Amino acid sequence: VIAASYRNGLMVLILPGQRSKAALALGEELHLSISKIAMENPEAIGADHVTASVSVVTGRTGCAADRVKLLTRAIQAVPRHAAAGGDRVVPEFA
Amino acid sequence: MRILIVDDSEDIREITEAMLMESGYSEIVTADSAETAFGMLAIGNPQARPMIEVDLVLLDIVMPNIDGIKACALIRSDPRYFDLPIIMVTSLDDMDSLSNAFIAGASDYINKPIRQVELLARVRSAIKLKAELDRRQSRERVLLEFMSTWGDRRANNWIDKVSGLFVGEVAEAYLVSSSDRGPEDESSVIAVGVDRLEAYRSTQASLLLQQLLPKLPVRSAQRRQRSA
Repeated sequence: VIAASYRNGLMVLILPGQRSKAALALGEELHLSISKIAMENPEAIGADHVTASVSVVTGRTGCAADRVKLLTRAIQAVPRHAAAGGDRVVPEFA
Repeated sequence: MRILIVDDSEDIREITEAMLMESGYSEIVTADSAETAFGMLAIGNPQARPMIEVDLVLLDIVMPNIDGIKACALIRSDPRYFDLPIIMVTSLDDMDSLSNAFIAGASDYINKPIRQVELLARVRSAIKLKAELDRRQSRERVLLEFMSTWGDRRANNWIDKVSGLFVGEVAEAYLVSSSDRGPEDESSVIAVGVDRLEAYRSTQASLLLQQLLPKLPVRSAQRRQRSA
């Protein structure tokens, strides 16, 4: 697993060889952990604490272009889920 | 996939070639002596371009003038052939020289008379190993290229100071440079974003991240995935 973070606060986890079920379970675990932190965030919708949007993208990764596509889709999906209310884990198959 | 057979016996060359061709290895080149093989591979002339590129050499140990062990050592001493699989062909009563062959850099050996099953097993195994080595070297090259584009940045700049995780570019580089898997293999990427972070007062957003990110169980997830 490679875990990285971007300057805007977005974090990504690369899970080579990981299928959707296990990846989704890890995504749920991260989501739950964030909600348990219960840090105050008045900007959060429907909660008085920090919430997170988690995007879990799984796909076939035969070549470098496929792998990069997974990352791109996962990153692009997060603001979409946040705009839809946030505080959720959304799986996707690329 | 090109295989070079080096043997002074025409019969052995023909039999070996036929066995390999029967199993789908269509590019077979033969040499009747080490000297002929050296000419093909430009051994002793590192500036010259080899006449042929080979993926595997089957080298007889007992040959006149330059024997297989000496030939193996000379091929291996050329940096272009450090990783070239060399399978020694030896008769059962020639086992003493086998240890010298391995010292000289041989990858494997097969016994005479050559049995097709044994030959193919050794050839396939050597080629598979070479392919894996090539993949790793290719990956290393990409990584080195990536690192060189970072100019004089130091390794600690690859780590995000707030989260203690890699910076995003490292994840991207990893995806680009990691080995290609089979077309049916699946991988996953998880992206996590704090909701409404951009709307949070700008002065407090970084403070929020500084407090939040180190608390996330990403590291334990890494450890758990590694041990799984």
